Amino acid sequence: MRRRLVTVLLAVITAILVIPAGAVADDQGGETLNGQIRKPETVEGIDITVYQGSEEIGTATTGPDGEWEVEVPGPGAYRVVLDQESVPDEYVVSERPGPEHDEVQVREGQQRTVIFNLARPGEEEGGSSASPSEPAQEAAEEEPAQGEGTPEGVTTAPGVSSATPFGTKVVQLTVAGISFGLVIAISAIGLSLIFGTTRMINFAHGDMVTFGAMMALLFSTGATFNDVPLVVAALIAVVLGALLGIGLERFLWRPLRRRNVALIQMFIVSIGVALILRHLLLVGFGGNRERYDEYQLQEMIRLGPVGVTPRELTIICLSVLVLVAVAAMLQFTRIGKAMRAVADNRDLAESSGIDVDRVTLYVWGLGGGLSALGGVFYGLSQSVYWQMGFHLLLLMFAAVILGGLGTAYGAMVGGLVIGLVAQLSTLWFPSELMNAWALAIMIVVLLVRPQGILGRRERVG
Amino acid sequence: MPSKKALGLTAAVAALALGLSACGGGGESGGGEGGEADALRFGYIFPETGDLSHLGPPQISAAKYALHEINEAGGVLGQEVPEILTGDEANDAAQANDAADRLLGQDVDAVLGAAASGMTMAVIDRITGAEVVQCSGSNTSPDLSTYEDGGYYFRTAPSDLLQGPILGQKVVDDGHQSVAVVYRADDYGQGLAEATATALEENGAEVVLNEGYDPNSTNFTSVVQQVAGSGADAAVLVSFEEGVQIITGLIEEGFSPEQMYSADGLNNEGLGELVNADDPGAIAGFQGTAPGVDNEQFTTALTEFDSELEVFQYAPQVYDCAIVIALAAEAAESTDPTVFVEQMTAVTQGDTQCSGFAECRDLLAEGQSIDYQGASGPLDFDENGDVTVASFMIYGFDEEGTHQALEYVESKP
Repeated sequence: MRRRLVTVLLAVITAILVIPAGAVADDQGGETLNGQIRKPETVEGIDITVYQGSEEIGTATTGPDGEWEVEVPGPGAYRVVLDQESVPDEYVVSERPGPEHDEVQVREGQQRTVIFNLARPGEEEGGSSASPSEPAQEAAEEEPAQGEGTPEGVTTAPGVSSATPFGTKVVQLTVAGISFGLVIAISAIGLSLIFGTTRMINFAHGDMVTFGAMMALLFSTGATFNDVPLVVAALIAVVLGALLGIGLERFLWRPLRRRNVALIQMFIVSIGVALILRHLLLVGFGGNRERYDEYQLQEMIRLGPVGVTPRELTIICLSVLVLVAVAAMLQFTRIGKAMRAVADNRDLAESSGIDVDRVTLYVWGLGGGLSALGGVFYGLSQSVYWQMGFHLLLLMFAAVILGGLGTAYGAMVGGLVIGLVAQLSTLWFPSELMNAWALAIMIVVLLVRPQGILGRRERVG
Repeated sequence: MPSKKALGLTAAVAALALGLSACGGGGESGGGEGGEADALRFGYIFPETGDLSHLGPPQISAAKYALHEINEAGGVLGQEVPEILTGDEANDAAQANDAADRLLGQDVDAVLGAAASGMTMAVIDRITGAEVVQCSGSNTSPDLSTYEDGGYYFRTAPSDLLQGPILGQKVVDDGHQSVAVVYRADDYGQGLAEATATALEENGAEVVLNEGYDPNSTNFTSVVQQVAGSGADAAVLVSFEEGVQIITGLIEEGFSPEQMYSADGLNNEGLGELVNADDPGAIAGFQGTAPGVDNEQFTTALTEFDSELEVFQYAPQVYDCAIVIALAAEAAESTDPTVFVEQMTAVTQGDTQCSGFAECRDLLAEGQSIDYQGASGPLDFDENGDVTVASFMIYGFDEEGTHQALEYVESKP
């Protein structure tokens, strides 16, 4: 009994905390029907009558802030009617939900809210319209009235009470798409270069992304390592990712190649590696989605209509820097040139004196490190969990193929396109189809340009 | 043309990879070679791995606890119930099917689970088709009510058709009039989102956004921005754990947790820490509904049984599943599922109220007709195998981010 009392009390306290607009303090415990007429704006002096069966229970008139309340004798079913006579001439009662609520069930102790909406004549169907401009207008008019009447009104959160115009949405989603695309690009470079140098599709690449994210999680939040700052943990993760890549190449792929194992077998082996890695991570870290403990819940930086968190902005800037650095390395350094040469034509590179095995080892190291970095960025922007890389893998493949197999620059461009298409598609299509559109655009591009955006046409024969 | 060939191979291998990954994990089947041919044999299909693995431990413990109680009281029809056979649904239809086949191959009489509505959809034909009783403690999809199951499928969790109105009403009672609903696009999310949206509209609130997202998605930026851009003054998130990403995104977009609501999927004691490890109070004011009962006694008893258990969601429901099955077998005086299935409804609707296996069995032995009062509520199965009276709790988080049950509400259709 005491427990129930406490529960009810807690409920009432929360109700008061949470519903400053609805609850009135002197009615604690009693059942009421209440509401606030605030669409399209708060209206005073509207009569609302509550019936039980045919018996009239009570009448209330809306106050200056559009609120009304009727005490009812106890739980049960009531009929709530808005008196159309009392509605000022400039409004009509909106068809949905109409002037009358039948069969309103009130629970014990419940202060139930009943909604009535008004509309201006001629804008009758405004209530159900989802067109972006109209609600924005309504909300703009509504806000000042709210501000006076209810100091802690429920619709006062900034940027929330009005629908965002289409243009702003486009810019917002473009920013999101760039950030997503850059993460895909960083992660996919290794995939593309590894394919270029060894002709092997590395199915474990997605799980190398997860590996990086999880290592950063281990070092930044794990009790064992005394909370290394995330920046340091990310660097450790990149190094470990590179070591993982190098280790796989040195102790698995190179021996397999030496024994002349065919490509198809190597594919299957890479799937095996992917499964082992993924499930080891699952066993080690569990199946929950986790987040880094730093840089969370940040205040948005508002650049005009567009808001972006410092975290997202940093990820974008760092990603661009890393991509530029990688591009410079590929373009100007000896090892970078060698990588591109091997990716172009392994045999020719070998016969011209390049140590192909060493270059391949570096490519794996570079790919592993970059995918780990991509994982950290992705985990920071979204969340870390054991299948994150696996679910990203398909998009990485799409990016690599779209951009042109085997070229690092192709992976960058492809990643950006995939990220942008995925995010921008949600402007018109359901979000659950986000990835489908990214893959569809890949198919369309391949139909027009079979070698990919930056790929070179293969010689036939 | 190496790269063309590689493309073809990639496609082939991708298909293979998907298939192979479905074979990963998998629970080990327990012993259970009891010997007595007539013992009532239970099996379960619960998420031991996969996205919903957090739902697994309370359900598994509850099932084991129920069997422990039954055996303490002397077993079913005087026979000790052998140890429960395990199966992992892994949030993967292929693995769930595999688990179901293995359980059926070991001649189980009753299967507890699956936990997720979608996984039940995957295995229900196999299990009920083999004339084995299936009872889930956490399936809430409305589609399962009228599903052709030959009368072999039961559930002790209420359909979303009962939960949706309570959630919708709660949102409206808090003074919100335009609401955005986002849901994971699976059997669970769609069913509950639809029921909630309907309830909101019946209450006169405007549903300005009703949008599903891919539950496997890793990127929720667009969902967050759709909610933020919809002009809603409240958001309902029908999500599992991925909802944490949406919550943090919305907070950063300027939404207050007081404007966010969810259902059983986010009824998680540790939600505050998941959103912000440094300051769990960041979600103060966040509320939601979940099937739940005010049953401290059961929670304490289950904690004594399994001291490591921290989350109790759906544990009473699963416990009730096992007890009702055992009582039905007692009432039918048979452990043959085709016989005792007839008694499943009867033992929840009889004349004499009772609770606990021992008490109810003794009443049955005296020849009385019993009305089992479960740990999760009065039960009372209807002809679809659904409960007709369900208890829900409204949960919320306080300034410290501590999870609280604010109110318990009974719902009748």
